[in-house]
Amino acid sequence: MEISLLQGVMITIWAIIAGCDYQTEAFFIFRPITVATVTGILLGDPITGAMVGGLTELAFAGLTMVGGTTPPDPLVAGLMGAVFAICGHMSPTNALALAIPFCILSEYIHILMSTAYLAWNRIGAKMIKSIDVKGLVSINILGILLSGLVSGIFVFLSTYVIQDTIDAIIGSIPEWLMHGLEVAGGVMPALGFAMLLLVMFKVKYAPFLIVGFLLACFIEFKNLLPIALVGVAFAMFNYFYGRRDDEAQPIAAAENGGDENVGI
Amino acid sequence: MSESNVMTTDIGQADNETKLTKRDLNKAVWYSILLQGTFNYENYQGLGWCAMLAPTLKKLFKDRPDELRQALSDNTAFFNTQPVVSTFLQGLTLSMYEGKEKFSTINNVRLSLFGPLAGVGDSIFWFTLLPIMVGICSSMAVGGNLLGPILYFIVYIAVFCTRFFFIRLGYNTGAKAVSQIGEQTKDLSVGASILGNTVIGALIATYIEFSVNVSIPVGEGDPLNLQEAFFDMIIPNLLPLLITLLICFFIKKKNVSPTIIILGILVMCVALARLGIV
Repeated sequence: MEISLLQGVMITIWAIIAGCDYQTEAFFIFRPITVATVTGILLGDPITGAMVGGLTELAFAGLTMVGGTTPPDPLVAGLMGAVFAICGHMSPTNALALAIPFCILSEYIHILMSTAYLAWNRIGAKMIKSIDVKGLVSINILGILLSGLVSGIFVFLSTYVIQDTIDAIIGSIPEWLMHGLEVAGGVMPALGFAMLLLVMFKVKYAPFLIVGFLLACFIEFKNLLPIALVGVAFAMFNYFYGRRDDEAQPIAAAENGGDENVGI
Repeated sequence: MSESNVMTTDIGQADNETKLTKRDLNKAVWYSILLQGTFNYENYQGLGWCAMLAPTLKKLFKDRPDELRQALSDNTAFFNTQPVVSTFLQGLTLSMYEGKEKFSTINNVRLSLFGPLAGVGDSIFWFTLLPIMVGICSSMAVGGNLLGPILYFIVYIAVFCTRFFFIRLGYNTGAKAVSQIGEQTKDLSVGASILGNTVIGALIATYIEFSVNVSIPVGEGDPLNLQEAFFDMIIPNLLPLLITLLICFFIKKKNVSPTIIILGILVMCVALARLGIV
């Protein structure tokens, strides 16, 4: 399916809005699940958009912006994934794998921007000198809009302008490579989960990880809400029945707090 | 950045006090969106933090331009915290400026709090809420259910609304509250970690697709399928679990960046597919 100019423009406008949100992290509409679903709506296939978005969201679960680091661009990953799946009639796993080069390229553009944004500090210092509060607010809004615009231009180029080239490249991909990309797309969520584990896992939480893993191995669920409820049950059990030790030895508990930061 | 010379003007103006209203705090929350607007590698969120305080400070220091200039300039220093809970520090800082604390005290409180606060915020929003939302919403979305993305959207709008709560918390409780909040969130964070680990375990078993496609010829009979006859016999989803742990190992022990991991997954999977193993 070809992307019409109108669709290209609408996707670009959406990318600008989501790009502003990516810069501010305010409403989380830049996450793949939302970006891909809205892109799906614009391309006339929200269901496929949601399927790609859900998968990409899993892969990007742990790729956070914590501590000012810049991960591969989740916005571009979700958006390009939806475009590939809908316009290229691909499986979600294949679409995710093909979106990877784009989101890594966009990552480097954002790193460049965060370097170039040093310039705002010079402008800001002048405004503070003349106590121009309106100006100070304006340059920060401008910073957000500029970042959104960069996302928009990137997306317009990748979806509309070079779509024939991309079609040609995809058409020339041999079957074994396509299959390899599909497998890679299926493995990609492992990265998201590994990143989460690195932060959340402690040895004392291993039982819950194991139970969650085993439950999902042997019981089929429509979604993970039932497992989350099992987790809630464990947490409540711990809260109501596990507290007595703490209360009996408040000092010892305080001293030993956080001693099990073993991680992986 | 010395503030001693400007602070002396304070005493004469004590009667001319400006109080912040509910409306001021609500407006300040909307300015908190600016926090990362000019994010850069020099002072990270510094300029954005200054801008999200600026309009309210302008009201507080209406007739004292020199102090306003000093306050704005102080707040452009290096700053990096989690956007949602930044409003807690925003409320706290505003209440201190309103209460005419010394600028040096306010600066010290800010500098000593933004790090710990980022820790609390990141562990609530990135490492607890996100995996749970991903677990529930993605699993719906992958199955073609639009309720997944819709639920995700609604929850994060609600998360934004908690900023109106956090700014009040900071404004009303002051610097002492931080240690108390730490105590209270301890139970919460243990519970959240239990929940999070249960969900991650299930995610690993459900959403990583990887199986080998190797058959070993066994004499006359049917060839032995390595996946069915070996890996699945030990435990289902053994390979997805091992892959996840392997990635953990490379990131934690070998300091490999996630971007390299992504490229590594692509290359490895394509190579294995070429060899006909997967």
